[in-house]
Amino acid sequence: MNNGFQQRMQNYEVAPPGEIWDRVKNNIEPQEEKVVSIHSHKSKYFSTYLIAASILFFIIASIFLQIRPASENGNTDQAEPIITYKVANEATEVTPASNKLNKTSYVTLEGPHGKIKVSSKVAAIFTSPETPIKAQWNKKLLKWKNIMMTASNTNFMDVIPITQSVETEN
Amino acid sequence: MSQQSNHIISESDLIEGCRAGDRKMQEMLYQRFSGKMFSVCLRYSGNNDDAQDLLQEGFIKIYKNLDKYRGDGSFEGWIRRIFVNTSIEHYRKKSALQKAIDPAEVMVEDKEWNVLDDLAEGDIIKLIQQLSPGYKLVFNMHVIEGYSHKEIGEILGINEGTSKSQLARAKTVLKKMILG
Repeated sequence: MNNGFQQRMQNYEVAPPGEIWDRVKNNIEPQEEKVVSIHSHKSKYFSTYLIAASILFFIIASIFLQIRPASENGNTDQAEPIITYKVANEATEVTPASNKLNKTSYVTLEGPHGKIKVSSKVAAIFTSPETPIKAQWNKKLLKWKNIMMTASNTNFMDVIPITQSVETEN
Repeated sequence: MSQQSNHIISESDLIEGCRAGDRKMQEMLYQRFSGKMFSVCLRYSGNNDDAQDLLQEGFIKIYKNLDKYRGDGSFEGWIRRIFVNTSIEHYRKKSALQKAIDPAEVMVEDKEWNVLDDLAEGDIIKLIQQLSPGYKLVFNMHVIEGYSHKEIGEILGINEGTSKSQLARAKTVLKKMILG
């Protein structure tokens, strides 16, 4: 058998049916999957950093939470906190002569825990060192004082420091 | 995709594109070689359906093993070897070469055998397809692919004499088919 016959047979082409390419295509890895594999390689490092950052965050947060409540509780239990208040409302000026607040109905007091609004009459009673004028108020005021006058950063006894500071200024 | 635009792209660009997973390049490679490789598959298989399965299997192997091609020989030769090996693997079990021949019946190869020369390629393939698996394998490997009997013996796991006998018998059968 000569080389001519061999070459002729080797170069002979028969067109295959069109669907063969579709079958081949479905069995080979598509281009998109390669991109995904590269992405997953990167995301491996990203997830490592994320885990490390989360652990660091929880360590810092737990240290902070351990220190913070201790300092807060200590101040509450032992001594009255030193809080400076200011009168936020411009209309609530103190009248020097009577040592009373002016005619404005309400006084807004602003402190580190937020703002509170009290009537000027109540503020005047609290500012007065004397016993209330009307006897029928004594009982109620005594009750209120028992409830309210206990120094705490969670009740309205913050009024006392501000009234005292107002007196000092006058 | 036209054949003309397919052949504008160099073989090295085609290979690199396929390695990168470029779908268009993969299709171009298929279009460029599928015709020749389908004729290989037809020669080794007994029918059209088997040939289509071999073509599919062969191209999948090519795309998955392109990184192993180092450019030592021709790219078409590398592809052809994959198809031939795929076909051999597929039909090795069916051929039962050792049982097909009586060792005492070793025949001498006819060097002047040329009954196929005047036939068209398509007709030759149809005749080859009618041979038994063992005859078909040895005939294709030796006469068309150009393997020596020693190489055929090593690949198929038979001795050299058996390969020669198989070829001689294949030629005899083909001659009878043509001349009657």
